[in-house]
Amino acid sequence: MQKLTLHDIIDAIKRQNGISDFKIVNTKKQSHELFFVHGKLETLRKAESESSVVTLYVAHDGKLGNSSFEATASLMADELENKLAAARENALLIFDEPYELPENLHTDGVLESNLRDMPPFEVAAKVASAVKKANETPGCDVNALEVFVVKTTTRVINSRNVDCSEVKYTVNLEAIPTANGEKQSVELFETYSFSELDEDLIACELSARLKDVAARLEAVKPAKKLTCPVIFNAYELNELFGELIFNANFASVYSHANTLEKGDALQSAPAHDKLNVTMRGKIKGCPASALFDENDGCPLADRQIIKDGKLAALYGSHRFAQYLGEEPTGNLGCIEVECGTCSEEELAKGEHLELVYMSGLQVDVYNDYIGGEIRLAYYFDGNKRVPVTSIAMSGKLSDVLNTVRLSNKQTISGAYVGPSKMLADGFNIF
Amino acid sequence: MALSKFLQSRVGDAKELVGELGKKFEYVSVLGSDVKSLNVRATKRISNISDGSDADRGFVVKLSSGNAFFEYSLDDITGDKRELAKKIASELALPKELQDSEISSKPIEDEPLEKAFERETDVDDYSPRELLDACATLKDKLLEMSDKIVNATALIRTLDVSKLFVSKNRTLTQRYAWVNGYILAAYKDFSRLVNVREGANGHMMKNVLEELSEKLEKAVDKAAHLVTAKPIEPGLYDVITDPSITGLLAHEAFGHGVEMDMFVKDRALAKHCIGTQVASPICNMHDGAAATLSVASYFFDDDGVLAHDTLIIKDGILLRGISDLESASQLGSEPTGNGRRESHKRKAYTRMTNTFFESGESALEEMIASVKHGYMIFETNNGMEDPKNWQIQCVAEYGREIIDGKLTDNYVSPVVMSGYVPDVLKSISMISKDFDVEGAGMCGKGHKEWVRVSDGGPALKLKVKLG
Repeated sequence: MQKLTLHDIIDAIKRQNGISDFKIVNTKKQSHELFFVHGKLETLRKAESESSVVTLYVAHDGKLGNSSFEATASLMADELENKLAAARENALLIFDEPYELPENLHTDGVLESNLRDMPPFEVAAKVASAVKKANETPGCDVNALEVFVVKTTTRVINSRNVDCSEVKYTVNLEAIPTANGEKQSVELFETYSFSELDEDLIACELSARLKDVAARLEAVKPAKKLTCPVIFNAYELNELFGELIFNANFASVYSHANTLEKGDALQSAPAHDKLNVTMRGKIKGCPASALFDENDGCPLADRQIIKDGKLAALYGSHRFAQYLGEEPTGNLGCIEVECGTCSEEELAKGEHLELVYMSGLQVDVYNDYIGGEIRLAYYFDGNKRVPVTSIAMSGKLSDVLNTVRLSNKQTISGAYVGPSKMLADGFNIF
Repeated sequence: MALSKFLQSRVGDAKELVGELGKKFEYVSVLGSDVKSLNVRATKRISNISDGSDADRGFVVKLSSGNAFFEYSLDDITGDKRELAKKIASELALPKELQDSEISSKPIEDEPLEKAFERETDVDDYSPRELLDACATLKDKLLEMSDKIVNATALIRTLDVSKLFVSKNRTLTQRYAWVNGYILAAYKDFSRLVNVREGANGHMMKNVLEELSEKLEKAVDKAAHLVTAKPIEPGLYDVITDPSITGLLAHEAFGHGVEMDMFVKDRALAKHCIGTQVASPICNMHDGAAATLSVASYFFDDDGVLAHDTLIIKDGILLRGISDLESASQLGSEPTGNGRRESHKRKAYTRMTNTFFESGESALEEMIASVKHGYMIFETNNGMEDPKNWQIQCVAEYGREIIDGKLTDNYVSPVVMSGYVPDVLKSISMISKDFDVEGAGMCGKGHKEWVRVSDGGPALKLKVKLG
């Protein structure tokens, strides 16, 4: 049996009556995966898939309806015909405000990465070997390791002469640094995603985490209640800024899910650094990079969203930009936060609590809340730095943002590119 | 509901492929998935009828010869099986730097069984038009109930699962369906915006739609209270959990903690605590696809192991864990039907299914009356496990203060519950007679591998840190 092709889908759409427009987002994915337990190979996997999300648009009654379905490579001809007919009928039931689809766009490129010319299982083995190399801390080990080397090819085609494609290479790594003491064994959970292989950086990061996990063995609940500023690392900053920029998305605003309007202050009275956040389409080394909006093929236009602590602009897709009468930027994936002026050492000069591992930072913009359970942190009283555990923190988000001081060193963590550390005050630590 | 036509047409291909690969590998299985999902949504400004993100179609081939496991995920298995088997074996060749570093595993039992499973449902009786009309009606009713509602949404999400499992000695098929319905309101008052949701779920669409329309008033009432909610004063409190938070506690405290792939990796303290008291003696906890009827109630798992009802904690004592095939073969134990994949493209891990505490003897009113000062906390937002070190974080959408044995209208939100698992579970002093399992959960392994799960149980009274 022949595999369903994009030509098959387009030909079948053209045979349907009453379709105003169509869009196809075709994704081909190859994933090479290694799973290790206690340094030994448990599973080796390869996954190859191709599928297309097909959207049909029907203009009717002064409105626009659309409906989407997934066409996998194994879809049979009669199934495709049935799905197309159903999607056309479904689109007729939808009465959304009309909007124009993107037109006349052509892109064909590969996102910059040093992974593109390396055999994928070799990349995975190199990552595993870098992790092994990091393991120099006595009594510590990486109990489990998972490595995913993924090549994703995305192609967006529509009926308005859009044909954009990109190839993206990423590595995802999940490692469990563990320390075994006489009385107990403790662990941390580490996950990294990157588009540039740097074995020394992996070894360096893991080596630092292995030292942290060794410290967790010694960590105790502080004897007294702590009242000091808190240092956040890049992992938590990715979570924090990801929540904050949700306010600025066209789709959030259109659906009344935003709590801030343009011009509103996230920092009403910043005592130190003012926040400046720019959403970007691509940044070298950031795995959230893309050449175009992977949902509709639109070009990506970088935009500063937060300027001097105020919501300065919105961003988002072609469709919702039209609804709001704004210039579209496309769905921008990379969050770039402007660095501050302090070195990491200056931030850590006074009494503070430095977060290493949380259950999950909770940022709730609706309830003006930031907090969570802390599994490992370092408490510095001005003289001595000790590992602490079994505590939680909570604060009023708007107050905390007024106190932030950002480091001058830039780092990448997931979609976040910005200061490696942030010092903030106003927490109840309990 | 019979197996999907697509998978029916691939049974012969799967058997042939197992035969070809069986010439080289001791154990071979083929899992075929054909999962259909429809999302129907009506909001104040936009509507949609589209395939849902659960949709999945493809195959995964699993191979073993007593050491490491090998898997190949692909879209289809038609064509020349000899060529396909050759391609799979060649593409899964071990890189030379890994050739002496494989685990060893016990031979996999491949007990003979041929069976077709199916569950009755009415999902196919409803057209997309009928579902959209139902959603539009719910959304309109919600908007009419208060001019403070700035957006309202009604959403129906269907899951229609067909799976085929073939090994040398087994041919299993299953088909079942599940429906999740939600109503959501964005409510603005006192310059404050809150989002509330109510849900209904089950294997019959009719019941889900009826239940949703009965929950409209509750959603609006809750929103009106939540705009006045204050932050909670952090501290240790007497707490009553609603069934949703009870389920979250079961899931995070001793669900992840007894996933036996964590035992293999020495990532779970529970491995060393089998047979010991880990919870209050009034606690009994289960997990299993066959333990109750909910979203994770399949008939066989993604390893072809039949569904179980595993009693994990009995009278506060930890009895056993749950496992997938790979973990069981490394530990020398019996798999418990908990091998699950996010899709055919992903690896199977030990995963929870329907996880819950058994009901107890107390009336909820009696439990509330026993609290001098504390909170009743409601509705899962999210949670995080720590099987190795038994820390726990459960986030509830909101809480209501209990003063002198009475549930007040003093709302707090959000509420983060945290603590050390044995301290939390041993503090359980009362368990209600109620029982509710919510089939609307999503569970990740680490930060990925999302599968649908349910959890729940009765109300619990315990002492725990809230912040």
